Amino acid sequence: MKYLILIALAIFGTTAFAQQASKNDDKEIKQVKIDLLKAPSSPASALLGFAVSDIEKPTDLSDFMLSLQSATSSYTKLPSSYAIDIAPFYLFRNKGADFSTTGKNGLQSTKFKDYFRQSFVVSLALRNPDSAFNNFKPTSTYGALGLKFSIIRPQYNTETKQKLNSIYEKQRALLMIYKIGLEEKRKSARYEYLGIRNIYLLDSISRLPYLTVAEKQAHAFTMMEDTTSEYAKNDKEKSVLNTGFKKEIQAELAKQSKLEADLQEEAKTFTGHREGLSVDIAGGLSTEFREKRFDNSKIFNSGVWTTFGYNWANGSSILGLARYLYNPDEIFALDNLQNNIGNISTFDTGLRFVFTKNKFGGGAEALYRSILSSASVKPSWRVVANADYALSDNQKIIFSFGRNFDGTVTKNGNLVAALTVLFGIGTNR
Amino acid sequence: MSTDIVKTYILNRSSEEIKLSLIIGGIEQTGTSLVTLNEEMVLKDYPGDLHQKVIGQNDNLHLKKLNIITVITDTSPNHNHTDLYVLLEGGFVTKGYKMEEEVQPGASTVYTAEITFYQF
Repeated sequence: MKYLILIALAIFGTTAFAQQASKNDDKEIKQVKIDLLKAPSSPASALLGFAVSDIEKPTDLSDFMLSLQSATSSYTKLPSSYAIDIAPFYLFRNKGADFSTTGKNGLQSTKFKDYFRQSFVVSLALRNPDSAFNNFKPTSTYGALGLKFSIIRPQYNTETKQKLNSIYEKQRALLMIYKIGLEEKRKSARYEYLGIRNIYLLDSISRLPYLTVAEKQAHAFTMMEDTTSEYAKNDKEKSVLNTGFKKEIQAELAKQSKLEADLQEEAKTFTGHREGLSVDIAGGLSTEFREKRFDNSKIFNSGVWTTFGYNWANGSSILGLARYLYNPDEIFALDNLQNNIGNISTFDTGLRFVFTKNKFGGGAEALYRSILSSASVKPSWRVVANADYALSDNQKIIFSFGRNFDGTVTKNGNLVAALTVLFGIGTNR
Repeated sequence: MSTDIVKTYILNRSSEEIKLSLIIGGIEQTGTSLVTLNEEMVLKDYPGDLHQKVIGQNDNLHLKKLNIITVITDTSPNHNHTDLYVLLEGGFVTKGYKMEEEVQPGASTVYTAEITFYQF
């Protein structure tokens, strides 16, 4: 019954919203955001209007090259629509940046050098529109570059630290169990034979006459890399045996204790909440290349976002924003009309309060927009309050209420209501 | 991709140091490692990434076995991907081995690497 009511509310909310939306431009729907005060995670993509799901986020160099190759049809042409976020210190992790939670220089670190490297993101976007939409012209190419990083990052709160410590203790116990178990199981005749056989193969190369040390090294290296060689097959078989040994250890452990199950239960609810002051900076610049010529360009739009705030241990936080936008593609203060005034600069300041308690979350945000470069457009403001309740790990009911810059959704401009239910697909994450 | 590797690392004829790095992925995962060289404990319950830990010199590691066990637990609220990159430097070539696995939310993966050093 509870779910029937929720579904009915969702359908009602969505229908009401859709009817209202049909009276207005599609762009207006996008403005009913409840986290406008957050700096964009990808500034360049935000400037060129990419959806978050369209942004490539390579996790290693081969991923990055593959993404580039695919977007450029094997490096033969410019991509028609491409946005990518590169975390350079993540791509080159072997140079010293640590992105694990418990590492000495990891996400728990409070050193500026560490969290700057962990938060530093270079954002790139390119748009070659086929037809005119928003302010994009099919005769132009648009490119954008953005940066994002943290100046001050709050540290993990006490609850997070305690949970990490508990996870670490359980991992320590697991390591010792697997070490003892593997040492025992690796004494199997087959496992030992495969190791001895491979040393024999290397010794055979070592005894070859008339070869220099470098030639023997190269010969052995080639043999190891050749997946069809007896050597590589022996190593592969040992790997497979190790996988089997681990499964046996895991099964034996599960009969005796709930260690792995307890660890999973604890890790599943890990949130990584932090406590303290935070300051983030994001900025980006996009350029329009008219007639798709690189020697005929102008700034399309640009922006600098500074967000600063404080997170409390109970999950509440207050966030401030200062945002400068230059020549934006639409000006909310001008009743959603397209900007025909020319180069307009806007400066936004705002405040957001967020509260979370168990499954309930709520908050409010207020934003004031000043027009720096035109006296003909009046400043405007926006206030939104929102509340959400998590039905389960991936199902949430959300309610928001407020006034937008130009009073969109309702003509009088004082009521925006939307009730939404989000259902995740897949595992309960 | 496997979560276990068995490899041989070719040494040079020199006294140059052999360095081991262990890189834990993806972002926001929690990993702890245990490293032994033959019977000797090199690192016990080491949290997070390990960068360029000196294991020994080229001329004193012949036929020794480096055993690495790393437990990576999924603590990221954003994904369930775990990976381990094992990097060895200082020998005949610099060599990196990557292992990875997608896990159930909150689950752990035990990665193992057995590396035998060989000098010609």
